[in-house]
Amino acid sequence: MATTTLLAGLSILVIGDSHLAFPDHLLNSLHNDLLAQGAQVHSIGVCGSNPIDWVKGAKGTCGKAERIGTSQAKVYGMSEGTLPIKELIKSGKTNLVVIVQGDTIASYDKPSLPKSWIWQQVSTLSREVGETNTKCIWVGPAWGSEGGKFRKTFARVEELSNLIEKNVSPCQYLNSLKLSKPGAWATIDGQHFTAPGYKLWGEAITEAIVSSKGLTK
Amino acid sequence: MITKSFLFLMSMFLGVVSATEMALYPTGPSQDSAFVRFVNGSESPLEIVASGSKSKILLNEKKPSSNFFPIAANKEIKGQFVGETLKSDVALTVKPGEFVSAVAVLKDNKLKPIIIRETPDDFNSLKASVALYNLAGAQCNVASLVIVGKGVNLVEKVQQNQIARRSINPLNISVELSCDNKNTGINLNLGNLQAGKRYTLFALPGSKSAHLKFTEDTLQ
Repeated sequence: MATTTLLAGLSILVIGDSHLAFPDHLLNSLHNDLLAQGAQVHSIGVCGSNPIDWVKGAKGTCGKAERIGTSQAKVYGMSEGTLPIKELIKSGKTNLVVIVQGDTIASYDKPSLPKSWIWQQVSTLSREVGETNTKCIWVGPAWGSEGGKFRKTFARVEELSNLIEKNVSPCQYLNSLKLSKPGAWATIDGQHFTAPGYKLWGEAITEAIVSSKGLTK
Repeated sequence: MITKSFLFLMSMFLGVVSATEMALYPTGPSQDSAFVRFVNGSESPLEIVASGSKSKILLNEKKPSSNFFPIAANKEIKGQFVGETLKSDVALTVKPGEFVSAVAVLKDNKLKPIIIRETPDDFNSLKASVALYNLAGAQCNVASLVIVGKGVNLVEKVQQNQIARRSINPLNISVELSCDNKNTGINLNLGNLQAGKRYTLFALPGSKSAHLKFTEDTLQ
């Protein structure tokens, strides 16, 4: 992406699940793209984390990584977990939160979507951010590809995205399903993209944030 | 000459640029959440007492309903509604995704629990969700709620022991209970309904006529 100063003055906190928990995922691509637009950026990803895990903090199970500003990614142990979002917002003087959560709450391997549980998960975290009066964008799940060990399907991810979208207020919803065609970005397991996929997703998220009126001004 | 963009394009098609191999982790719970609440549908204070425990909750005019408690699905829970002179056992099982209300109403001078089950799919943080539970028995065979000053129904034609729920814009409204197509004069101001919150109005039997109780559906 071209370097600009469109996000200069913003202190952005990016939190998320496995899509952000490894350097070759969004942790580098999205983080670098936001930096390139002039923002201060703090990104933390915890593999397998659920939205509510970011309210009080919870142990992780499959990996965590973090980047602050232009420093290299710091990779933690498997059990390192999430931190309370309000503390992160306060310590980073954050004025925009970007939440990348979706695939960990989809129940891809179950016959139906756990709507009540998802409602709790999504509304609790978005309300928690809302209580700080910090602007936020919830980045929903991307298409991925059907099958794989997580048993992701296009129908389920679409159903999930629609449910999340209705429950993120006061955050704004960034519908990742509109950023590509189903299956367009190659995956390694149906759910996680190859590095080029994460590059395209990171660019698309950044472009959406830059063009999102009311969030960056 | 092979350009960088050409190599990138090829990698997209061939998937040759790999990302981290991921451990398999759960993408959700083993089953959906299940919730239960206890409601005093009588005109006198009651307590709900959990079976095999000393924990109890006072349900009175000021707070007629408990919060919704998350519980294990498909596992029976037991308790007892206890009033000054009357008691009633209650036992129920909640399925995954259900919000179950155990409402104690007075019938023939006995406390009787009515179990009402909802499996909502109208979750929406931009709307307020308002339900009417018609538990008023013969005092209100078919219940509707009329928005005062508007003359339109919020919900309509709710049969005995049935419910209707509707998502509305968050407003300050008052409603009037209509029974069997007749306005009852029983009004209730719901205050400032908030977006993302869920509410329930209970139409209940009374010593003289049906009455309304109102509560926010708060999760514990």
